[in-house]
Amino acid sequence: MNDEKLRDLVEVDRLIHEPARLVISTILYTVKEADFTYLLHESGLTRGNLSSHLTKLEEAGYIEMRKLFKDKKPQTLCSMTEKGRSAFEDYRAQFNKIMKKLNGG
Amino acid sequence: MNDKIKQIMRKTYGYWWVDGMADLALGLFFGALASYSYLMVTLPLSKTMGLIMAIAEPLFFIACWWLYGRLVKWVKEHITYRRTGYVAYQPKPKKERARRAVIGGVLGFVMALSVTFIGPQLFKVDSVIMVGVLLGMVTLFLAITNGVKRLYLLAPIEMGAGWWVSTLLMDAELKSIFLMALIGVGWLLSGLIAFVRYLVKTKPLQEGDV
Repeated sequence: MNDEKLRDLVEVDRLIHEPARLVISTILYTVKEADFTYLLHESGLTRGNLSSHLTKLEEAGYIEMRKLFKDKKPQTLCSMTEKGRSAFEDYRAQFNKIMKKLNGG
Repeated sequence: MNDKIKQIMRKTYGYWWVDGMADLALGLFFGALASYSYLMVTLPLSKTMGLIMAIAEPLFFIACWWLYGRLVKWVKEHITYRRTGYVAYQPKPKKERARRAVIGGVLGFVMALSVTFIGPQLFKVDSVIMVGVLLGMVTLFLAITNGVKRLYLLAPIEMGAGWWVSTLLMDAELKSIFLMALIGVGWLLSGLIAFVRYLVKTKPLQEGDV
């Protein structure tokens, strides 16, 4: 692998690239909003792990979390911000570019 | 990686179908369509009453569609979201909605043309065969775009039903109504099986899970 390819790989948004956060980001990019239960169910993570990944994405400004009550039960709704959507699109474009370069030799 | 992203996206869209409610609603809709048409064909209606029923037909279908939409929403809120979580989908941008409306209109026109003219007149194919094939293709499209496996089975069944109904000795109008009813039963069965499987595979969340 030459320096240019290596540099491309290093420049990939690691916050999104981490497998669990990539699953969460992809889901939230696809929908308007999803609750904690859905993300827990689909990601297969533990509650603690999911919470920690969501917090990292929230701190980066990629997602927003709203806590509310529904039928007297707490519900956490997550949605992706414009910054997050743009970061996710950049990540996909950059990753595709790297894959193309790697496949092209 | 890109394939995995696409797979997750498709699965997320497919969540709408996970509990079989959409199938049940479609089954009920086809059932209502068949029942209304059957009443119009078999009831001894006066000219005025026939005209009123013909005018009321689209309103009846819109009312049914709205009612089934409410029913699906209620069941999802009380069963699905409490078991496997809540998801709200992105509303499509206006431009995209307009594009889809145009495509839908063109497809509807092509379907109507195929059923009434292209099939029976050009290829001498019974119109119920055309209806079965076209509805089967729509079901196949839903299966591919949403990644819903059971619809891959339902699509050829709909096509086969069209062919089978065409072989029956009955009035052309009754054939169409019978096919609608059969397709409705197919969707209802698909929805019921999916719903039972969903209930068996999932459980209501315990306190504090949300």
